[in-house]
Amino acid sequence: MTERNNITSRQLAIYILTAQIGFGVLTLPSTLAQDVGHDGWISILAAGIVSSLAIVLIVLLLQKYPGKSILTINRYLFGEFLGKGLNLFLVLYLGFLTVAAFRVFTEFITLYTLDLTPTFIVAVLIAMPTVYLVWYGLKPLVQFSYFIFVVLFFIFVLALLVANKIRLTFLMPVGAAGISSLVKSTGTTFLAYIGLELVVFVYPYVADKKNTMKWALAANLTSTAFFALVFLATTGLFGENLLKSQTIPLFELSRYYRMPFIERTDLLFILLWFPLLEGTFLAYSFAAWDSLRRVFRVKNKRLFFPFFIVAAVLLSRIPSDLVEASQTTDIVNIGGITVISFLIVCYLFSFINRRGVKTR
Amino acid sequence: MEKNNPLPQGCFIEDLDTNLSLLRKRIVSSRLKFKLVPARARETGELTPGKVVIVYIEGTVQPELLQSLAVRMEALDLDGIIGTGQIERLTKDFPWSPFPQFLATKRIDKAVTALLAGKLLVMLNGDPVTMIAPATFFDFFQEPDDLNVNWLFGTFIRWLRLLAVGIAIFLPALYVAVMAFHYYIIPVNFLAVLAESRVPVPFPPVIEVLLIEIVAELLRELTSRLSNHIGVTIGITGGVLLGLAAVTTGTISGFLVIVSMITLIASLILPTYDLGLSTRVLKFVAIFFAAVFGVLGLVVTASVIFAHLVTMESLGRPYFQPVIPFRPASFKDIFIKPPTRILREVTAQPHSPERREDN
Repeated sequence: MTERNNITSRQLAIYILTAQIGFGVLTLPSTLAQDVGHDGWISILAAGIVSSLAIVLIVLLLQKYPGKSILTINRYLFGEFLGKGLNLFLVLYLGFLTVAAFRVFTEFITLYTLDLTPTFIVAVLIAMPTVYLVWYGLKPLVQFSYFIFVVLFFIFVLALLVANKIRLTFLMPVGAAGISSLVKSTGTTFLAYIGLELVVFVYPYVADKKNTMKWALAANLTSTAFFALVFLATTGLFGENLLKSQTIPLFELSRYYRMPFIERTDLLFILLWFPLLEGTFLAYSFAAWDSLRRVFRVKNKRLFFPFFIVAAVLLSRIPSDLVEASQTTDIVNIGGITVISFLIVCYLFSFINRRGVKTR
Repeated sequence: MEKNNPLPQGCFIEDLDTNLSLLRKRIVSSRLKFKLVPARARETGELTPGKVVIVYIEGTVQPELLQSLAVRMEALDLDGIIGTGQIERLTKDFPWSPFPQFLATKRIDKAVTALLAGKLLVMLNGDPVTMIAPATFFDFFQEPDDLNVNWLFGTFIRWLRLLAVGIAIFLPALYVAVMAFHYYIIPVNFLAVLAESRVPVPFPPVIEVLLIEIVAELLRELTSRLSNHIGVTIGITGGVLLGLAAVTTGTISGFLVIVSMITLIASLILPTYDLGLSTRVLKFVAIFFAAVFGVLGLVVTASVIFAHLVTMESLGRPYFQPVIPFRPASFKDIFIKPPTRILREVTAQPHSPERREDN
């Protein structure tokens, strides 16, 4: 069963990519339009650079402790007691991430496909592929996520199809928003990049560890390019003012293009986007389950896995409505930034406390 | 099941010794090996002693595959063994899966092709059906005949089969989902025609679909139970008369008859019987979820099936390769089926240990 978790660094890239692209990008263009207008792409690029730097530092940290995940590194760095406490916080963060992602996922699907069905039933239904794949491990999970290429291709084609309608004047003048608001919006944009920190939890499973840096960066750059493409296409098409009023601009984009014969392209879009959302949810829940298992040293997988799933489904019902559910994403954003900063602090601290560091 | 064209075909028979010499005639090499299982004196099957032989070409097959199959076969402990299908069910990696994990064939050319590609054969005395292991999902869409025809047609027919498996599983479910939940995705001028055909029908879409699908399954079983001449006659008259009567009395909409017959045809063009069986069962699962959750049910079913396919392994090898994990070299072979000169690079490599790190 353990070799089912082994992946290559290329598959790690797909894992990170799927964790990043999924939820953030749905609302990203309209949030950015509200914050900085048509200059959102600058924030996207800035956040892309910041997250790439973060990845470099995080992977450097991991490479100092070959084959160890952050859960072990913490105990080396901060001692047995404090390390375990920090691990608990990390697991809590992952659990929160999973639950919040699951809730947004459920709401999105219910809203656009089955608005009369009780959300709870839909939640149970859409958790099914995740339950299956998390049980079988990381490798099948990543193989499922290969589906992301189909979606990326589809969005790319869609952008090409509407390319002649894009008005460049919507994107002018560059930098109108001003430096301070751009810096501020880089923080909110970072939500879309959340998922890169998962690398510290799955690192022990990567087979060719020396290529980790290359592929993790490649994943992050692909996400950046994709976010920028989506933002430029939606802004160029709708203009920032219309964009502000849209909930899910990517969705409007697919609605905008009228295919011959097929009436509602948006339904097709949801069907295509579903495996991607599932993939993001999968990536989070695997990290959560696997870390939970290691922190609490779960021996009996068969017994505790159902508890984990039931807990995830039930906890995701806690926010009473859509507004509260979308507020949780703000907490996710703050949590993600905190965790990533914490990892960078760990990297710096590893120069002082050299316990467990591989010496060459 | 496998007589579909005017191209050469020879079949195995019940007698094992004859089958082995048939293989020897095709592959004239001392590297062709027969391994008797179990190696101990006891024969497989306590009460029905039947010889089981693993056939492989030494140097082409990967030793660990042979080892893994041999170990599993050794572990078999049965009172009786009737057919190779039984061996498959007891040795496969995922016993609960609806998909066939080893490829069953009676045809010699198919067996020889598999041997040349580095696969193993399991033959049982008394059963003309031979089992090819390991199999991938895409093996079920290939026939050795594809190598005999023009490359363009070979490519075309493979894509057609892949399309067919999609239709066979999802088309009736799509009908249910669209009719019951999302009729607005149909263009208006077509919706009018569709609505008209459904006006006299008293049932909700799912009952309607279940009715006709069960009748179609009955017809299909019937034709495989009866002898050829009667089977064809009954199949045609039964199908035509039933369909006509059902539409004229307003039991079933005319459009659904089209949908259902397309599904039936699609499930029948698959070259292997086993995969056809899987599609027939999965079709009903998809109908159920589509009836309850509409298009969402459909896409969840598809996701679970996809998840299952990428998880599955046959004899420890990924079932869904070369798509996932992606192998460009063999990908070319399966989806494009290039002219033989180019193909040779792929299949005729002696001892091609595929890169392990991707599995």
